[in-house]
Amino acid sequence: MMSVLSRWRRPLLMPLAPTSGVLLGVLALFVFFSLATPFFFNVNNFINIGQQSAVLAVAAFAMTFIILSGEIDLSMGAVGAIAGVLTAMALRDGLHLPLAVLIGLGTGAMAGLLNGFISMRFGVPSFIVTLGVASIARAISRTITQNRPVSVLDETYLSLFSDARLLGLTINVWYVGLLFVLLYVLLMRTPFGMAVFAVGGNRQAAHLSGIPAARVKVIVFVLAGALVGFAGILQAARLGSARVDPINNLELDAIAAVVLGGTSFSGGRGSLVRTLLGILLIGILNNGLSLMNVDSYWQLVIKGGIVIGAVLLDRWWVTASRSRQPVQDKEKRA
Amino acid sequence: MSQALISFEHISKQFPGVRALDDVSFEVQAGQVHVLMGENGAGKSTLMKILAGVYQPDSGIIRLAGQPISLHDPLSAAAQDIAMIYQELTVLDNLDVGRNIMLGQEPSRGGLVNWKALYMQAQAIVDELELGLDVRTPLSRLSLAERQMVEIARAVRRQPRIIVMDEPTSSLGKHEEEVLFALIGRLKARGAAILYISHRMDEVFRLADTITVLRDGAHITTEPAAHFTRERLIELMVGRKVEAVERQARPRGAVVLEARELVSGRLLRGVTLQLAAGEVLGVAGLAGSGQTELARVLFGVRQPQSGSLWLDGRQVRFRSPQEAIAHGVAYVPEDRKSLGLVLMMGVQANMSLAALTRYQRHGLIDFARLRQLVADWTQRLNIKASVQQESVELLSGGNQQKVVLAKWLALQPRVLILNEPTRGIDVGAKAEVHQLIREIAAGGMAVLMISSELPEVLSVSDRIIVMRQGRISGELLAHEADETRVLALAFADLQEAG
Repeated sequence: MMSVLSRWRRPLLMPLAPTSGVLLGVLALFVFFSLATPFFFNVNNFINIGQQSAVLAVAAFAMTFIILSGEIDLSMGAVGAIAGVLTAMALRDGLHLPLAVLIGLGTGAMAGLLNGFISMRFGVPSFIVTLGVASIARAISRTITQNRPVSVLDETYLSLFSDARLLGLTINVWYVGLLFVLLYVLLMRTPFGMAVFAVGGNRQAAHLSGIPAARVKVIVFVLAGALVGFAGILQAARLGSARVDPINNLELDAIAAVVLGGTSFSGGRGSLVRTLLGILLIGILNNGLSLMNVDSYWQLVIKGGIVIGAVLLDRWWVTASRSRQPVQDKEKRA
Repeated sequence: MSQALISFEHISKQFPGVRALDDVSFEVQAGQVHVLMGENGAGKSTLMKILAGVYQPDSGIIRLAGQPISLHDPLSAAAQDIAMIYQELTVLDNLDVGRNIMLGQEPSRGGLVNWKALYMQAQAIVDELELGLDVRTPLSRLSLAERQMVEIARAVRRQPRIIVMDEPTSSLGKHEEEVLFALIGRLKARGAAILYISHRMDEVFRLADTITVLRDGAHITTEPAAHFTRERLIELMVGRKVEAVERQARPRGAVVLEARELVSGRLLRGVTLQLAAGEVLGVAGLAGSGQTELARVLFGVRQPQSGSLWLDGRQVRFRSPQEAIAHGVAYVPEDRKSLGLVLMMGVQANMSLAALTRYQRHGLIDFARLRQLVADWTQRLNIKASVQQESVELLSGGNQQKVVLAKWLALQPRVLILNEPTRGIDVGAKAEVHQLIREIAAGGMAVLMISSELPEVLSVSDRIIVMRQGRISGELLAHEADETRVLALAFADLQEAG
């Protein structure tokens, strides 16, 4: 399929074309929930969806960078949790707010550095490294909190990262929007972004073109870590307390959103815009099922089914559209 | 003439926007090597994929020994005794020779694999083809050529009557080719028809009994190989006269790059060379004589264990390709698909990979300037691709290689290292690349060209060094070099021993 890179100057929405399966899914869910429950179709609920999806969105942005660069990060939930916990503890112990926030972001970035450095320096697959880091981070969080929630009482913090509203939208939605724009520019308009695609697409070719492949990947891990730290901060603010369980499986939802968006799991192909669609699908699904009072375990079953179904639909769509194109590669070996 | 083994009758195939095959008819006889020649896009591979059941023709039929056959998928082709051998190997490195050969056809007893029978049957095939391999050797211990032999053994396991080989020698060295050619001779003697696709003239003339030329999807001619000369064949393929590269000794400029006693492991055992501005220094030698290692050391991919590198008379050390590039050294690697290109990216992205940081303003990429640059080079190198959109995966080998070249030429390097610059690309594109290499050297660039194709080394270089077992075994000026002298240097050790 076409690379996103070759579409540099096309309108923003062009990359959506190959993800029509997911776009259809979003529309179908939207119509379905509008009909199925009277609580779904109203502006306040839409705002809710945004607010509920903010943490996932930030993590999914991070995961997009990671997957595009050809890696995987299974430590997002655990790292987000420890970042939230440490921020909350810092506030509880009277540290200044900016310092506490910095601790959260820094924790995430450090975890990312650890993931990236070990993986690149010693050639251990990131799948393994991040799994290990996740286990360690989770254990530390549970130990230092004795597995009890750390409440956050700081009004400024709660307002700054969760409750404040601007033009009707909660502030975390604004953060998501701001991050989206910044990350989009970083990915699509800077040499670093191009390097991320190249390194994920063919690490050796990138290396032989003078792109410091390992360094690019480590930077991606650090960036993703900091974003996940931020997700932990948002999560703690939204719940008014920090603990491991609410975002323990954050990476799984993030991966689902990224892959739903059509980003290739093998790296080098995909886009942030598409991830946004994936986030929307999961967000609407979570919200709609809860409004319909579906049992939370059944929600997981349905969610898993829809993720697989959407990806299948997408694959079918890609195959179908490919068979309609001229097969120019027929001569490539001759 | 006896009845043909295969007859292609009025085969046409249309892809949207491309007429891949236009009323192609010719016959293939049993017990012959039948070479298909043509430029990229001529329709060779499409025709072979129709024979393999991958594509269906829009019209026309294929007869096998007079009977029309229908090939609706690759399995039905296999059932008709048609075997395909592609350039990319499909053998499995984690299994041994015997298991590879018998893959998918393991003899069994009571639902369990009968290992004894498996290895016996495999051994029988190995013996019959005189491969001289132990069926219990893991593939990971075999050379590339030996793996290819295993691939062929697997293909001929079922005694196919038709064997299609698509550029089987593109990754083989001189000696390994001989082993393959001997095998082809034995298959032929068994009565198989071998359909052979290649761009290498010397091997075509050596192997072919019959040659078919295709051009732009049309059948041009099918004649006994003896009817062709090199020139006539090229003319038929290209449809015009290809001018031979101008050969004239040009004055050498100042020495730009100098290597002194470079050593890297067992592959590079002390190489000293000088590369001057404005010259093409050809590097010849048997595959695996250290040519690629030399290139990798010169480009900073590998750190030499000892020896030194000098640029403009000053000693330098390249700890990474980045540093080499910063000093004006560029490298076109031997395998464009795995090393030269990011296949899923477009022409523009690939061409700008090495220049990402040079085209930016306020930290953002200056796309206007970049597009201009890409448009310029696309035009200058005559790259046939829609620049903005295409993923380079869909381009022909020649166009892909030009994209890699453009990536480096756009940087205006002082030293250009080329490793197999025309491997697997068609005659027309090859001539263009050779012309280009001469031109950029004439423009003052220092070019080091590694190639396993002797005619290429001989026709493009000003000076030739021959490598053998990690050392330089001799140096020749272009006008005093010929195939015999180069080969003598490449094989010198064997001669001394013998």
